[in-house]
This record gives sequence, C-alpha cells and structure tokens, in this order.
Amino acid sequence: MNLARHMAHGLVHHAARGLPWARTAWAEPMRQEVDSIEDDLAALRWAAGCLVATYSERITTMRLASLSPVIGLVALLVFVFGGYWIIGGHIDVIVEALPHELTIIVLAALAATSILTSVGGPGIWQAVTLALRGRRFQNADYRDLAFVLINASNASAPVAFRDTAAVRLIDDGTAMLEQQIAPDQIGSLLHARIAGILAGHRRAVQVLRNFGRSLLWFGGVAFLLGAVHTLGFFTEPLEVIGGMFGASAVGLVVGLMAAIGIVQPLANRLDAAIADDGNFYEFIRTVFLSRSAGSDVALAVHMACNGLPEDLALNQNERDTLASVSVTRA
Amino acid sequence: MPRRPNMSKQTRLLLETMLEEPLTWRHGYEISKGTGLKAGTLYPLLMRLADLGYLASKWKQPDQPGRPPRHVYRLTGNGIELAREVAQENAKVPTGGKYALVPS
Repeated sequence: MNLARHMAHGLVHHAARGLPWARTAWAEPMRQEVDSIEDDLAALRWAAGCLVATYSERITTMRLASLSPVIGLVALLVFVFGGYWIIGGHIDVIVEALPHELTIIVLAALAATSILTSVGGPGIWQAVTLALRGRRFQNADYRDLAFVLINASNASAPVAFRDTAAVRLIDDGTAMLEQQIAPDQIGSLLHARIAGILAGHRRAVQVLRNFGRSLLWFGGVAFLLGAVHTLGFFTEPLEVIGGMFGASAVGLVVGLMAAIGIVQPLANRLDAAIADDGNFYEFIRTVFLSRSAGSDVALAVHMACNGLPEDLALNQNERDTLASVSVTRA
Repeated sequence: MPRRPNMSKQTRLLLETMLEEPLTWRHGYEISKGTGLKAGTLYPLLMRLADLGYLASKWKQPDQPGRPPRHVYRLTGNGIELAREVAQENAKVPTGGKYALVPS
C-alpha cells in the first residue's frame, strides 16, 4: 500500500468516526467507496471530501445564537428615537444626557442585581448569553439522544453525550431499571429530577428579571436626581431649566426602554427556551418509563418520539434508521 | 409528497443527473463523475435527499471477486417526480416577456 492509499484510509477512517450519531449509517459507504476507487490519488481526494462532508454535518448541527434579538434591539432603538426625531424631537438633548444617565442607571442596576444574585448562580452576562442563544436542544440533538438511548441498552456501549444533566438522567434511569424499581416510582423520581434541572436553569431568568426591575427603578432615581439638580437652577432662564429637566427625563426613558424593551423580553425568551428544553429531559423519562413497564427499547424510543412537538419531530428516514439500528443491536 | 429540499444549484444538478437514468443504481464516485460534485458536497446532498425520502440506497455486490461491496443510489418515485419538476423549472425561458416551456 503506497502513501496516498495509506493516507486515504486514515482520512476516511477519521471521517467515518467523526460522523454525528444519526449519520453513522453513512460511515461504511464512505469507507467502501474509498476502497473501491482504484486510483490511489483519486481515492485520497475522495477521502478528503468525506472528511469535509463529516465536518459539514457536524457544523450543521451546531447551534448559532439567533440574530433575531439583536435585530429586535436595533429596530427598537430606530423606531423609538427615529420616531422622536421625525416629530421634531431634540436628539441632541438625549445624546448629551445619555452617557451619564447610562452610567448611573446601568451600573447601579448591575450592582443591585449582584446583591440579589446568589453565589455560584449565573451572572447577568451569562443570563444574557443564554437568552440570546435560545433553545438549547434542536432536531439533531433529539436524533442523537434517540441513538444514545438505543445504544445505552447495550451495556458495553459507552454513553458519550455533552449534556451532563441528560447523562445523569440516563444513568439514573438505567440504574433504576437494573434495580427493578416500580414504573410509577421511576416516573416520579425522574419527574422530580427534571423539575430540579429546569429550576436550576430558571435561575438565569430570575437574574434577568431582577436586572430589569433594577433598571426601571434606577431610571426613576436618575430622573429624580436630575429634577432635584434642576430645582437648584430655578432662577435661570426657562430654556436652561427646560433643557436640564429634559436631560433628567432621559434617565426615566432609558430605564423604561432598557427594562421593558430589552431585558424583560430577553427574560421571557429564556423562560420559553427552558420550557422547550424540558422536552429533551421528558424524552429520556418517557423512554425509561416505557421500558420499566416492559416495552423494548425500540418501542420506548418510538413512543418518546411520538411525544415530541412537530418542529422537533424526527423525519421518516431518521425513524427508519433508528429502527434498523435497534434491530442490529438486538 | 415530502418537503422539498433547499434547491441549490448543486441539488438541481444532482437531481437532473440522476433523472437521466432514473432506474439505474449508481455509486457515489460515478455520480460525482457525472455531476462534477466532489465528495464533500455530494455526501451532504445525498444525506438530505435520503432523509426526505427522495433517494433510495442499497449495497451492491461487486462484479469482480475480491472487490468490496459498494453503496449505490437511485431516485425514489418521489425523487423522480421532484427531478422532473426541477427539470421543467430549469427549462423555462423568457419569450417576448412571457414564460414558456422549451419543447423537448
């Protein structure tokens, strides 16, 4: 075997091993295709292409933070201040007051929120990142989970999964099956475990809501401080007093917009995402509940798949591949 | 009919090539030669079409002894229908400001 053929074998072996769980059926076709190509350099090029295909499939399953919250934020600022400018509002007053108002309001709100946040819990930045990311588990993750659960029925198959909470749930479910714990107890125990997982995730929602409330109140504080400051200049001409009062009102506007226009929607978005993610853990619970009631693993996974929302449901080809994998494992 | 896949230029090319001999089983390298698509582009397309039920596959034993079996592919009934739709769309040309099918 010459160097090109040797490299082709190495590349396609790496490509085949790197395929996502639900694409493992394509591993052997890739390997055999390389072996069937007689020209060594052509085989090497084909193997390199297989590697590109594997990474392309891996990247496809990666989740990118949705741009919609960022677009929404930009649109919010454009509509509010754009509308204000169109009706003849004095943008210069806002621009001049914005730096110190933002400093008072945002920094004060951050400080207040940090007092409320428990040690070891998520910080504001982490909570914002989680909210922007949205739902953690997408279609490909459910597909991978179904394959992992089928393979987990084979004691020698290692369960390698990136979500530690899911891995612990699977381990607990497997242990309870081995101990032949009654189905209703398995259901209750796993339900309580899932509730605990989601409660932990919801701490980030609480952090955002606290931050939003702080922004609102400190917007009011900034306004009152500005008003107090203005009172000291009552002998000045009206346009001066008006300008100062307008600048102090900017603080109230900033606090309201930040709290109600930005942070509260982010908190609601994160809350909805966590509720969606509950489907992932419920999938695991359904499988173990079905198995404890006597169903084989293929039927249990099939029942769990039927319980998925439409946008997360596995397509027919994925179900067929699952069925063929479970027959192979049987 | 299943959901239509994203109709990239490469997907259209693949469907048109497979439509030339819709009942013939072809292996990946042969499809690559016919379309000019490399393995890195071809495999994801084959995977998507198979997911959506437009592509069937099977293992074919080699003609020569001692050679490995190969995975071969051809369009399903839905795949042939889709490929024909794509071929018709590709054949539309403007004629005096109106669209008409080019006669085969």
